[in-house]
Amino acid sequence: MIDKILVAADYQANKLIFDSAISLAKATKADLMLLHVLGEDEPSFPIMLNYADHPVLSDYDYELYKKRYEDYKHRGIKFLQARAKEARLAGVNTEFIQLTGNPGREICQLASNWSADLILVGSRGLKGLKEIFLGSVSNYVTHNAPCSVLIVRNDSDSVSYSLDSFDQEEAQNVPESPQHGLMSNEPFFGS
Amino acid sequence: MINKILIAVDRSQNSKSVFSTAVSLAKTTGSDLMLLHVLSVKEEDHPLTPTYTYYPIVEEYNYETYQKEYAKYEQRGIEFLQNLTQEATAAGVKTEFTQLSGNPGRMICQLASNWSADLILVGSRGLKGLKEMFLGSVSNYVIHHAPCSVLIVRNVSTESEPMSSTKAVSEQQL
Repeated sequence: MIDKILVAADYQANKLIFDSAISLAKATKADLMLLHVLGEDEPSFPIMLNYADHPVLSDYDYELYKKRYEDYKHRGIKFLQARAKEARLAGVNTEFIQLTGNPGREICQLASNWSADLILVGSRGLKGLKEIFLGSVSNYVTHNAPCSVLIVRNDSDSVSYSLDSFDQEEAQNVPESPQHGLMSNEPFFGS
Repeated sequence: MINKILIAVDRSQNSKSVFSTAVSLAKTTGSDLMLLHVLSVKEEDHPLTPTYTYYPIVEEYNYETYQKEYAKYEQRGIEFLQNLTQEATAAGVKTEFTQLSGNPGRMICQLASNWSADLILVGSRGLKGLKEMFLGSVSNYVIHHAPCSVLIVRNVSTESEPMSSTKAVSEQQL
């Protein structure tokens, strides 16, 4: 019945999404597709350095921005690879993809192109004004998806992949991580 | 992981695909099913008090007729649920059913938290725009207020298939 499951997740995503995706895929013998969307709504999205100071784009700043963006993309891929490995270890046929753009729209587009039978999304649990201003991805997806949608929610244990723990994990797994001398977590002020 | 599945059904066509999805899910995950039907004024065969349209006095005769109709309506709901329960039990799934009356969205969420469901299955009537605003989207209410995960089952074969295929075609052309 369910042959193809699309899982949309970001770093803040509840670990529960992956667990339920894997257990569902195992139970129904479905293929998994993990999707991460790079978007400006994400907290770790790099910001052009001199936007605030003056509108001249110096070469150096641009290079820095490009590097940080590469880092950011690289981190997304690493994240997806780690999750895909977990799923494959559980015996589920898994692919992953990283896209750029509006998360809700990208999720629905991929779902119809890949002809998914089920979309799994988490809920950020925003209510009221926060939902209006920050936008609810899960709401967009439920209203525009071409297939069934599973909103995964568990308020009692919100174990999320924090960025820091992920960095440590990454550092352990990849001894030769590229050093740019610039961590995206600490504030940086241009020269 | 999923031990208790709550499924909200009505007598629409869409509800059948929700039910079959629920049964196959419950079978594969080995979980219990709870069927819920909510009696509400918004349902098509909900009886109306006969005097409402003419004059505001409720005659005893009319009231009795209404009560009879309502009892029949309730009975139909119970029979509907019993049939589905039999079907699910025949498929080897442990199934219970409940019939409540009130606002469907609210009742679904309430039962989900009382019964401590792990997953709610609802169908989507597929209303969009103004229709959704006026008729109200039960699934939307449930998504926003549910205490647990929610699966919106959409009937792929009828409405969305042509849309997605045209999309794919246009993208190939690009």
